[in-house]
Amino acid sequence: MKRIKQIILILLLGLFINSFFTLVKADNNINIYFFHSEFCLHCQEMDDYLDDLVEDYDNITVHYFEVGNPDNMDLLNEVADIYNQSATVPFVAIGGLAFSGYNDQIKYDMDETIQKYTDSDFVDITNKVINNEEVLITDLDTLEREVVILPIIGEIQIESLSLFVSAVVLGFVDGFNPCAMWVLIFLIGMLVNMNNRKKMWLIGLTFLITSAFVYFLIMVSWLQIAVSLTAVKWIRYLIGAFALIFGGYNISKFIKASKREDGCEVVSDNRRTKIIEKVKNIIKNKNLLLALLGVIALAATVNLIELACSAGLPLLFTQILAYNDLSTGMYLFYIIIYILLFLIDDIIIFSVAMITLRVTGISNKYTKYSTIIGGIIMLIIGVLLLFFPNIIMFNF
Amino acid sequence: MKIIRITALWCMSCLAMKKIWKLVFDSREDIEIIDYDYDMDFEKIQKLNVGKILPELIVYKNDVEVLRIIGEKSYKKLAAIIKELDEKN
Repeated sequence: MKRIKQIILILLLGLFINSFFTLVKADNNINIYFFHSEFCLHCQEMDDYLDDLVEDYDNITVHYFEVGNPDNMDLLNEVADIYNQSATVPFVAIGGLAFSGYNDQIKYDMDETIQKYTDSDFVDITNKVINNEEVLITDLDTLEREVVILPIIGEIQIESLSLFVSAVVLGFVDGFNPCAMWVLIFLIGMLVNMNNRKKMWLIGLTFLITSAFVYFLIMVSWLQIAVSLTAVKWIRYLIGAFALIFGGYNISKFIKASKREDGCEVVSDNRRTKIIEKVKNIIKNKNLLLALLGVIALAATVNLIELACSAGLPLLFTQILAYNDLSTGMYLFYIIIYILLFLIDDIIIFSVAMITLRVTGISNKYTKYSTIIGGIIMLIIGVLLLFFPNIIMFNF
Repeated sequence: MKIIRITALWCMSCLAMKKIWKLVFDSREDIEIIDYDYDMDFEKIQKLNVGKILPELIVYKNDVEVLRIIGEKSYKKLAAIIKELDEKN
């Protein structure tokens, strides 16, 4: 017993001494180790940025290491290896973090790191390496990013990025939904036989734009209802249950489709015949204005009729949006992103057909896979809505 | 050999199969292909008892139906089916 007490005491003492030597107290000086080369353009940019940081923060000290000096290069190799980063310049090490390269994201992350270390303890890994001290795996740090900087788009909150990714993924998967696509394919099939390219583009684009607009109106209406009902708990359970049922239905559809040959399923002769007749009349119509009005009516009707078939993912996406407190502009932005991705396969098929005058098809296999992916996504959203609503709200 | 090929303008699988049919059938002058559209030639195909999955290829030898090839097929699979039919000759 006495021995155990001694071991615990030594361990505690060891930990205490270790922390004394390695932990840097808050408000202490932050060392920035900058590895650079005179031949590297980004190093000059990083150098200028470090000058800006020195002006902004009075608790930082920059140490310069020119890698033309073999000793500095050896140090860079050793340090980069510890941080598990490539030993390329510009390379900046701050406490438990290192940054290789130079871009807006790195600039932002360096600034965040300095702010973080100004308020909290950290281990100066590079200093340990220079002093030949042992570096522990626990000395390495991670940066919890709240903001990422994307090319062209610029600064974006992680929460927004989650919504952006959701809009892209759900919209893209929903796009392969075959519910209303067959009408577009038929329309394109009829259009490519026309000699009038201008008319072809106008009719086809009008169909696509009207489809997008109808989808947009439907999603905005759902969103309005969903936003007004976010406080009602049982609505969340209801939508969650709906997601589970719709997801399960999609999966059963996939299983059925897997058992039969891949191909186009012929359904509802009557409705299809009527729509086909409408398309034929539009194509035949010599008055362009009447043809365009006809195609607008057709696209609106088809998208409304097929709504029951394709409602799952857009309904759930508007629900996710509703649980995130956003401005009206941001709500509309995400819906537009969803719709753009939803239409991307249609746009590609249409454009290729109009340019090459050949209609290309996407194998039904992809439609089948989109059914299972959509089904799994709906199941996940259902489970999240029912049991982990915080994740849907992107409040991790 | 004669093949009645039933497709539809709205059917993506039929469009996706076009390339494969070209590869398999274009070099075969001994195979006569008759194309019917599911909607445009509805009356003609009614007596053929076409199923609910398109495309459908009805294969005849000496005017006797010997096989129905339903749905999408890979080049390898379709070529193997046609080769098997040839060998049965």
